[in-house]
Amino acid sequence: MKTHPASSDQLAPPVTRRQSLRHLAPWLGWGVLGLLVLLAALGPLYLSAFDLVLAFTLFNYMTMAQSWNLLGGYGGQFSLGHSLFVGAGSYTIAVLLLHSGLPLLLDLLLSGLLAAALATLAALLLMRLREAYFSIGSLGLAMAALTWMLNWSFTGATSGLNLPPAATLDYSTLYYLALGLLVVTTLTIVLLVRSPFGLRLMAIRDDQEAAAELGVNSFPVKLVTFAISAFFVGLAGGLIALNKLEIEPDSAFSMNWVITMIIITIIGGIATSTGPLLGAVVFFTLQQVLQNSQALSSLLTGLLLILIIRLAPEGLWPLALKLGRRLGEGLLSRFAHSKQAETVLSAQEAVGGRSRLGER
Amino acid sequence: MLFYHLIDGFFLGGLYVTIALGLTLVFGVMNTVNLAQGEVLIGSAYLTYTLASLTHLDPLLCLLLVAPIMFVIGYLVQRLLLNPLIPRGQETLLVATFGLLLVAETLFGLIYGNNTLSLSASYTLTGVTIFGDTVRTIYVIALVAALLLVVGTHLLMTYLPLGKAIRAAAEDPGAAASIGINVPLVYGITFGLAAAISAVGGTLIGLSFGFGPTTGSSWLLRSFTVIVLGGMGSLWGTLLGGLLIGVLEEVAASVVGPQFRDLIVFAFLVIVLIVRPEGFFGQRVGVAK
Repeated sequence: MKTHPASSDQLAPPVTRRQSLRHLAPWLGWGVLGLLVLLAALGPLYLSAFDLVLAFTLFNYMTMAQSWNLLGGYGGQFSLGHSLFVGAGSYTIAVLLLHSGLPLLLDLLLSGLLAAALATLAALLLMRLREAYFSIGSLGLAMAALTWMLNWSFTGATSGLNLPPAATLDYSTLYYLALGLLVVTTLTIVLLVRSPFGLRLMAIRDDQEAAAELGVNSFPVKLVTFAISAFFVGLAGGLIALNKLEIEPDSAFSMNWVITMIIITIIGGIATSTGPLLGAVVFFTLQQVLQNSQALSSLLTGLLLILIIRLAPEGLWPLALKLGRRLGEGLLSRFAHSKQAETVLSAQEAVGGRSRLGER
Repeated sequence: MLFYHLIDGFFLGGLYVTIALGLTLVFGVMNTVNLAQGEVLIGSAYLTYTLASLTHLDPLLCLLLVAPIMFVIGYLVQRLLLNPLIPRGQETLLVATFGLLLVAETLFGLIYGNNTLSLSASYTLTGVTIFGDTVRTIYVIALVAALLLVVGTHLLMTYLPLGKAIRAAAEDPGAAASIGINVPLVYGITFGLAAAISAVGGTLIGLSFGFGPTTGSSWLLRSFTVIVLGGMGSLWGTLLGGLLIGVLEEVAASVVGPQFRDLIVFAFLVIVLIVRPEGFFGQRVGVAK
């Protein structure tokens, strides 16, 4: 592309406007997010009981996908075993409610902690493995746990457990618990990946040897990440049990849980913190629209997954950002004196390359 | 008693070799872990089921048609979906084969319903007496098939030009391309071959056990246990690994009870991965013998 040499006074006004917009963008994002949380917090005021249950499920999907994304996306450890933690959470809260007199919220917390403890054990076993070996190893653990639960008489083997009547919560309480968990999970993960810890995690993902040479010890980082990821999934598992009130191994430890987490994350955008939220909305909408034909909806989701990995492997959210940015550039250049803006664009390209504007 | 379980396990192991061989080939040549291997197996079983109920031919005879169909499907999957993703790394390939798993599972449910099906033939319920032990005839057939497939693949890889091209592409795709080997084509053929071999394994599964839309992942894990034990991608390793897992599962199940079969295999998989992730025998298909 030809470059137009441009003097600096010509550049000045559009650049400042562009930059101020760029500064504004993250705040705009936070503003929208805050508004959404506020809107959600007032949910029970305008939602029917049926809608509250739907929202409960959606929030749990978001929480679980967000947690999977911490390990699978930011950590690069493609776990196929996260169903284990859903099941562990569900069963822990059921067993505690049946056999201990502890208050419900403490039971819930313990179900997350047990999942985290299991994840720590699993991490001790699996963390040496990389890529596909880790995936298959985690799947093996989860399947082994499922077959164990199918035979364990203490938890009712194949018939499972019924939660005591005292555990019955009304819909808006369940709704708030799920919303609260989602907010806490998302905030924790957003802060975590922006912290030095998160940088170490991503450095290990991108090149473990290079990270090691820089003095990053990968083992504790992976271990903690695995435990945090499982903790939130375990809490979601506990909530799911509180909603269903009866649990059995085949559904509590179902492969479908981890499948859902992965699909949502990939569709929305792996290793982004908004991706799993957007992905969950897309996935859930598809599921609800086609609820009369479950097979059709999972067929479409599978095809969507393949399409995305083939055409836009970074996922919908980064794709939307890219398009949005292009649109923004287009609008700006129209509003500013069009000639000038174009000059700015091409001048910037000459300096910084085109990478920011999209790869192609 | 233990001796009988050893014999049973040995023949069951033959079946495990036939189901794992396709995974071995795909990993050994393309370095791809095909998460949809279970669905390739179950899909073949469904195809055989359809063909056998249409023509009333023997299921094993149906393989003459089912294996080529699976070859074409495998070839197309590799050429259209997986080849373009190779530069993006292993994780992308995992997701892609995972997507295939989902789509296949759903299609099976849509077409055939969620019931457990099985293939039947005159030899599914009969036994053969070997060293005083009665072994299911189908397991004996499976072991013979396993030996034929392993030896056949070995001969193909060693002596035929196609096999040499496959090995070259496995060892160094760039160098192979530079001496005029059409690497994408070779990859396509390899995946096709793997799918055709899995058609044999899938049909044998259908004849030995029941199968349903979601039974694939349990077979994926079994196949994976076999090839991890055998050294990820080694032909002879797969043979030894399969036989060993068969024996181990049969003997352990006789000790702790048959309801723990899956638990035994999956726990064993995790243990092998932890203790010796590079496996115990042999080298990859592509890398010299």
